[in-house]
Amino acid sequence: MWFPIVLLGVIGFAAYFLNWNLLLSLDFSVVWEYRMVLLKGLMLTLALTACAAVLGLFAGTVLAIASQSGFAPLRWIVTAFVEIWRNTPLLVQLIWIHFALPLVTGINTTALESGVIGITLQASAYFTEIVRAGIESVPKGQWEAAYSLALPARIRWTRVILPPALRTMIPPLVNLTISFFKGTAILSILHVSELMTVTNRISNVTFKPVELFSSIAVIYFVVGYLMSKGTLRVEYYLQKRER
Amino acid sequence: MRFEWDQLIRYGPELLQAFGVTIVISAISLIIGIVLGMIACLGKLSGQGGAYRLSIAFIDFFRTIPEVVLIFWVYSCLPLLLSVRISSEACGVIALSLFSGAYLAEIFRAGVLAVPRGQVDAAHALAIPRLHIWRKIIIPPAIRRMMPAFVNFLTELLKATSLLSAIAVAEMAYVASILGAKTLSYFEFLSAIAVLYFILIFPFSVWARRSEKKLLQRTGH
Amino acid sequence: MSAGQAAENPFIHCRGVSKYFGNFKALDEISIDIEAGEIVCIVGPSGGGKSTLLRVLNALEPIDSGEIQIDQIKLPGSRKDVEDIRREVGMVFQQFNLFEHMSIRENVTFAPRMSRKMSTENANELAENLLRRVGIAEQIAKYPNHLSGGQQQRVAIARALAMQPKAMLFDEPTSALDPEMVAEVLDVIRELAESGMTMLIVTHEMGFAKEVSDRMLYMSGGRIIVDSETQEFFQSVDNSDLNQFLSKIL
Ligand SMILES: Nc1ncnc2c1ncn2[C@@H]1O[C@H](COP(=O)(O)OP(=O)(O)O)[C@@H](O)[C@H]1O
Ligand SMILES: [Mg+2]
Repeated sequence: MWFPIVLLGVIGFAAYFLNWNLLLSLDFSVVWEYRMVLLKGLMLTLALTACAAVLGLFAGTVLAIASQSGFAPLRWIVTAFVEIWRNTPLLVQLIWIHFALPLVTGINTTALESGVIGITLQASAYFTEIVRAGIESVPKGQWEAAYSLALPARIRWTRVILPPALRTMIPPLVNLTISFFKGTAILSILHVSELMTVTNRISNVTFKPVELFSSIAVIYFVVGYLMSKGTLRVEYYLQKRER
Repeated sequence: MRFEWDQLIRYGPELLQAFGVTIVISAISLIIGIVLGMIACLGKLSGQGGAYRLSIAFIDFFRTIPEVVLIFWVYSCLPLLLSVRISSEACGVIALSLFSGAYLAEIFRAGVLAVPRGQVDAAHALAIPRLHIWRKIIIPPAIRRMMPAFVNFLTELLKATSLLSAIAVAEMAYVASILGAKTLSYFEFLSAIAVLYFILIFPFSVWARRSEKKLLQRTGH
Repeated sequence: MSAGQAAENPFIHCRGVSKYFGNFKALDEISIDIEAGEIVCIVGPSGGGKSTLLRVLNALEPIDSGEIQIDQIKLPGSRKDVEDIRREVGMVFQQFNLFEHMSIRENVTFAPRMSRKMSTENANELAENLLRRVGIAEQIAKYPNHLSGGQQQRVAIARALAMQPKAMLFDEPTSALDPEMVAEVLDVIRELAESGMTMLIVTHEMGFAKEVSDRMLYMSGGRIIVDSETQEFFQSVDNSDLNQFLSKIL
């Protein structure tokens, strides 16, 4: 019963403070006008997400397998790589790769290249952790059965250990992919022409930030929401098929 | 190329001040986020009605949109909508508080739901008053159970403060970019703040993992 | 107290085998010889080192000292030696350890195809024969979690046999089963015994052990305390530890 009262209060408060002139003059036609540019931005956002997910998962799987190696220095290298990329912000990694690294290597990368390198490296660090947890969730008995049947190492990994590990990894992999979908917006700091950069540019020429930023917030929300609900449905389907 | 230590030393005070800004902004956002998170958590736990729907909308929306978009929205739209001036620091705090609130709501909720249902039922059966059930039966074990996720969220929040450089808040990433541009010693300044971020964030990561391990041992699964 | 038949070339040969877990000595100077075709049952209290002995014989655990020789292959040895030993020796686990994401057919055909490079048709035919032999031919297309424990363990036996091993190791094959399923698994092992397979069986089923085995080992504290022919083991061995153990379990 307290809820309607609070709601009423909030509405009253908002009604008093809101700039009604601006609100009434909002003109969302700008979004329609620039729809092709925005769409292209969204496509690049999705391509970058796919890139982070696919390359990151691949590299993460390789690193996770390396992290199970009996050779200690290899394990240390993997751990150091993972910890460094997980414990610094993506934004700092991106500007470091784009502005600082070329001073040492002498190789200049375009904004898009730097962005792809940065997000993929960070993705592989995060994916390594998830794949590692997935691998460790496979019961010890499965390993022993594989050993006692003298299966070659490659077969043991690809056919015995990774399939059940991947199954337990689906929900965290989905969450991670969505978080990299969100992360692509950070690439706007380098002016990679994904959705956020494009929106900034349009806003700078049209002076309609409220319409534009509100709209892309909704676009990001809808796409991200569909990604999470959609993939969880796939997982549910897989589980049902198995029963 | 030579590593210009003297540049770092010369601008050391600026960097350290920016380090302080990062911490203060994180702390304020965290506190507001905890309050928002508790409200939204209770709303979602209520399971029906307007408060429930509003909480779900709040949580889903602010968890799903990119932090950068949220920050830009608050920075470029909110002052217009309310026709007031808001400093970029305040914009940063508002955005990070909303972001924290949504994430923490889910973390709190998971903690509460992890408390074995039987304990709550037993308390109800003993006719213990509702408030006492929350204070004595639900919250203490819930806090223990959500600790790993909470500490892990702190690392995410600290990383997210770097995004405020996009709206010119004088935190580490921003100050380092400015100093890099001014002295052309990009490598030195950007590497220095990468190290500072790592020093700041890594202990929380370790803590999160430790507490998770401890929790697994205690609850035994 | 060793039965000590010093034959020329025992199939399994252990000399002074020790195994530590940290500072804990799980196997203490184990020496034993097992002839081809011999069936040996191992009994003893929990924690006595029975599983560890089987696991070192299948190279699942490296040994810290001593020497193992199985069919002329020596351990500790190269990676190839380890794999060769595992091909020669099949292992059946207490918890079955079937591959949950593979059908029964795949479980049985997988290792011969991957590890022995057998063609798919031959492997399928072999699997059908083996599954018929353990009495579950009609479940071939199902997945492990559709089968009862007893059926799963029989599949696990078929899976090990598909590698055409020269010896089989059983680590408490019926301990994880509901009582009504024990017999069906023991029947399969009994049939295998009659076919002349060399076997090492850890079990608590004394009646079964007495019936199928040629020789009994009593292990405790990482050592083989008693090693004697089966008849003798149950009638005339005078060892207070063993007698106490038998009186508890029989
Ligand atoms: N992987 C291991 N790490 C540490 N200790 C172990 C391990 N495996 C077995 N042990 C110890 O070795 C001893 C013998 O174990 P095991 O061979 O399983 O006994 P049994 O099969 O006779 O019950 C036990 O005390 C057990 O705790
Ligand atoms: Mg055992």
